[in-house]
Amino acid sequence: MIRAIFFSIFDVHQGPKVLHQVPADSIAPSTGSSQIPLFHFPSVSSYIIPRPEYCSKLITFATPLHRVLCNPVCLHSSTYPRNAYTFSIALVLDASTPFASYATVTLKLASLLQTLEEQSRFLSRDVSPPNTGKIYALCEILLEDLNNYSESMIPIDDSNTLNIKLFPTYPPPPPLHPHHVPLSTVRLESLTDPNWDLTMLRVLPHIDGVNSVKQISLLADADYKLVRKAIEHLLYYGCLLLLDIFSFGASYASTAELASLVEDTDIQEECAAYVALPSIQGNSKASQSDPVSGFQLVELYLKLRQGQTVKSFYIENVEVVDRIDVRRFITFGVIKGFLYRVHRYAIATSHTSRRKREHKSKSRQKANVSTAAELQADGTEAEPHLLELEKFLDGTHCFDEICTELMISERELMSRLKAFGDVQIICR
Amino acid sequence: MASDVLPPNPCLLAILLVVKINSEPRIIFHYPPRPGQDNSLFTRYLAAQDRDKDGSSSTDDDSTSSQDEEVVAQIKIKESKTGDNTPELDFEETGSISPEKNDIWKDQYGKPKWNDVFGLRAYGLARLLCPPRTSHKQRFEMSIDDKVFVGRPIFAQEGEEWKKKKEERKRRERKSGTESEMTGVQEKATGSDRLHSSAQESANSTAVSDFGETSGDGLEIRQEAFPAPKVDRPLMTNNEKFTEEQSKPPQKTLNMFHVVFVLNPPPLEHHLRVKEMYDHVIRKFSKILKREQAHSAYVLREISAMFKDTPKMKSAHSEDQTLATLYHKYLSQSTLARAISVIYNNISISRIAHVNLTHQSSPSFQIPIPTSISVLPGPLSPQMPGMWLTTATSFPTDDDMNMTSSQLASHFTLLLLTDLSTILSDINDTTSPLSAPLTHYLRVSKPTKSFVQISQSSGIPMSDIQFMASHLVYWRKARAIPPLCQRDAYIVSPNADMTKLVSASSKFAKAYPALPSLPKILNLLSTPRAYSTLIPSKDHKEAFMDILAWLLRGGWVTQLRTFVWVRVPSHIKETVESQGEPDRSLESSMELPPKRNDNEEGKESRGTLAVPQPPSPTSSTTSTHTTIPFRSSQDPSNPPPAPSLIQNPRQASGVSSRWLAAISIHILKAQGVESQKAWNRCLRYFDGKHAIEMIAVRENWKRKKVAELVAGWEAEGLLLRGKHW
Repeated sequence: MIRAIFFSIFDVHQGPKVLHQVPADSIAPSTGSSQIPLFHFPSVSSYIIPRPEYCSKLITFATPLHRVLCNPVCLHSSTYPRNAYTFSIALVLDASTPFASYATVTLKLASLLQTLEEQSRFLSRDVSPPNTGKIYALCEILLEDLNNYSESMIPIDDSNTLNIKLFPTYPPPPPLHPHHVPLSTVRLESLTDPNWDLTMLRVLPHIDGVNSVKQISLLADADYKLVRKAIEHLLYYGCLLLLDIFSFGASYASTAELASLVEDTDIQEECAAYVALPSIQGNSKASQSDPVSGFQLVELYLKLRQGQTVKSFYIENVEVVDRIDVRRFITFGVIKGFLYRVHRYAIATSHTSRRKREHKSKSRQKANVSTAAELQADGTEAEPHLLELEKFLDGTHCFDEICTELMISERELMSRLKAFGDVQIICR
Repeated sequence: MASDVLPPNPCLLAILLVVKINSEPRIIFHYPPRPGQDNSLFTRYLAAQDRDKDGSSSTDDDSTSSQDEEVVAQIKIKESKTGDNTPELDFEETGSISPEKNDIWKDQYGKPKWNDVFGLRAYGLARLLCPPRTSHKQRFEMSIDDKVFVGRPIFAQEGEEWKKKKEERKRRERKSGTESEMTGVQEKATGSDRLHSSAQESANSTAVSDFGETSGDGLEIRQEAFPAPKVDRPLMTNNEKFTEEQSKPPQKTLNMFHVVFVLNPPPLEHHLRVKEMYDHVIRKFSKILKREQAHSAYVLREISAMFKDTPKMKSAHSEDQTLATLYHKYLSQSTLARAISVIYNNISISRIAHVNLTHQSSPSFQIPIPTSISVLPGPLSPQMPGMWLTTATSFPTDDDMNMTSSQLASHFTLLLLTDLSTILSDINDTTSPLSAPLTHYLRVSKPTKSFVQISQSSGIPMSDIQFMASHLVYWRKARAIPPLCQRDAYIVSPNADMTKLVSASSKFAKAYPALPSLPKILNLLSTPRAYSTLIPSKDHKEAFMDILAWLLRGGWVTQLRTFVWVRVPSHIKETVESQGEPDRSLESSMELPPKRNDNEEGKESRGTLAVPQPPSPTSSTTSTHTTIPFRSSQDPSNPPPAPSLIQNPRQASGVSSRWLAAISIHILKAQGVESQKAWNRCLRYFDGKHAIEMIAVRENWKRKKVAELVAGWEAEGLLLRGKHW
């Protein structure tokens, strides 16, 4: 929320001076006005109209209640008195407002005004009395538009138009991995139009909270890098959440956030609605019986623990779990943060490398060839899968990631790990 | 879901000391020597100078320079090498140097780069950093492009007074009284301004005494305890010099001083980082300097000390070398310059800065770093791998303990963050009255015994233990944890830093060669179970408890704690219902959450999930399944009421308190008096916030007894159990 916009210049006779201000009397009250200004202009004028070396820089300063953003500009020309014209357009915000997006607006405004001044002496010729004239009108429209619509389009003359928009600043999205499962938080289909990026349009139908990024790229028949880029864009704008690959072999456990579910009946209701089976698809018995209550769901969530797969959880609690959508049940917990996926990691212990060395020396004896290339080829031929697997066995790659990268099932991975030898599996 | 805890990032670029002497603002000193550029050369040089002086470790690098013969000799050699060109920063000439003169000087000798700050002329910047008098003791914040200048200017009182001074000084000051000409400045602060600043002041004083610093003298002891407060001899000589100066009529008047911290915070973290730095470092430092200045004209004295016998610049020497010599001189001559450099060097890498200003004043500054997080960061949140994941914070969050919130809870204990011998040698390096008791305490302290137990077994009073423990926590030597116990369950922390696994494994193998490897241990801790099941025999117990401490220190494991809620079974509800009360329906309807089926649809579509909701039958029934008591009162023929939870048993009222009473009676009937007594005692822990592992420690009961009691109540369907950290 912009509190005020004001335009000030360096007057050769009076020094720094506020020419136009919106709202009126907010910065430098006219004589006789009873209004208290937002801050005392003379004591901060050295920041708004500073020495020439500080011009063309973004300068902000904080007063106890407000923050002022300005970008003073100093133009040198013999046509000006004292050969220079210094002006500054400044935005006043509340002190606590995040101002990153206003900073770019300030810079753009200043550069536009500089261009106008250089083209047609737009600023220096405007001798209209304070709070009238073109510059005043510009400030007035800007304040209104930016506060109400976050954007503004003001035609200034035949050749110049001011186009300004407040872009929100978001943190950079986290690194995206092939095994991440995106889930949309908005109805993306309703936002699209045919001008959108082609990859994006192909990707969107497959974002359903089930497919991983890798699977999406396969389903959409699009290059993985492009798919990743498209999804990263959506992530940046907060349209997506990231989940893990759901499978009945995975295990989930509760986090400290669980208390919020236990204590909040609203979330329980939301959960009950989300996990309920649709009546038509479910068997007749399920639809007839009572829907699962929020309390029952709480009890179910509390039963999930480390070291227990969803499958065994299902079998243990089949009576209740049969009446809900298990995947949605788990997903709801992950989205709300009261469940976390217990990922599994594998780390090859020192034994393995020795075993491999032995294997290599054996193959060398067998082949009786000493060139490294052939040795390598030999090794690859013998255990291609295992060599491929080895780089994932440093404890930093979870099973989801390994399976996605190698395009194998978890069962296959387990059998390969068994063949690999001494590998410790750590659940985290 | 998203955690707000961010990794520490001080974003500190430089510290400038801005002063206004004889109404002339200038940047008198800044550290590092080349702000915003590569300063490694200088830091190496200065560190080498320090090492020559004393082979002290990191915490000691702030000790004031002793007048070691060697260093003096070195400097003399360097001085003799340098010529006698006029240095720009000659304090003795400041009175006469006007801006014009300054500029002329620059033009004549070329632009002296080292006097520029971030490519800006120091003189112009000084003017900008010298705010009007109304900002006395106020937060100052100004930014130029991406650099933020934050400070808290301190002005002399009207008539250049620095608070109460000796009569004769006052007289002299008045004689020399140079009127400060504050152009375009409101000279007198308005009444509201005064009020504001005094309110801020009182807020400051409470904020300064942050955690642990409960007793008044605690501050002093703590500050002396770690880095050795060496007898600063140069200061003594300065003092003598100063008294000499005093005898002459003073020429300089200090109108204002302002320590400005230059930060470059990421745009999205601007407010957070600036606030952190201001609250924890800038405000405290500025207050201390103000006090010292009022007490003994410290700032003015140090500035004069800094520029006494400044080595001369010579173009024949490389600029770097001259600058390094100059800085070495500053740092050895002035404790204030030294303090600024120490603050910069430590704060910019998120460490504790301990500075020695005078004999009486050796404060320490730090931006507190988080020691634990309770929320596991999701894939979209900022990651803090390796951070201890727990809800067990050492400071009691609620009112259930009869102690103030700043004390460490008595049922916690200390986990040392480095090995004992390192800490002990650090302590013994210093000569502080606290060394002996600290050493004694550290020798008896064990991570398996709570503060109370240690106090009982060793005879150290509880308050002393808490004081020493919080002292160690403050200095980041230890962390408060619930005592380790082999019967508790520990799991691999979901926040463990897996990228460090390989290097940690080799460290682990070195530390515990005879025991299973780290991956093996973590594999065993992957499924929840009591830690004792890992321990092969009684002889191994101690070693395995050491391992546990090691694992916890590195954030590899976290305790899996059990939390319970009171579950009200159907039969209890029926009993209460059958007792019947006249205004039951009124009360039970008060118990209900507000009915909200009207806006249900709208709320759901606004929710975070865009995935289509299953079609309608559920949404029409959602409103009924939480309103069970209501339904049963409407229609008595319905099936028995469904069980539910009591959220805060200590503050239960209405129908829940009657349920609790009924439960208590039920336990008496089913399990006897003992059990009922224990239930009534333990009820306060059954709110889902207190881990039941702590009951035994707090109530001083046997663990077995607690386990049996809880299992018994759970079998009766009176408790609902959840496990997390």
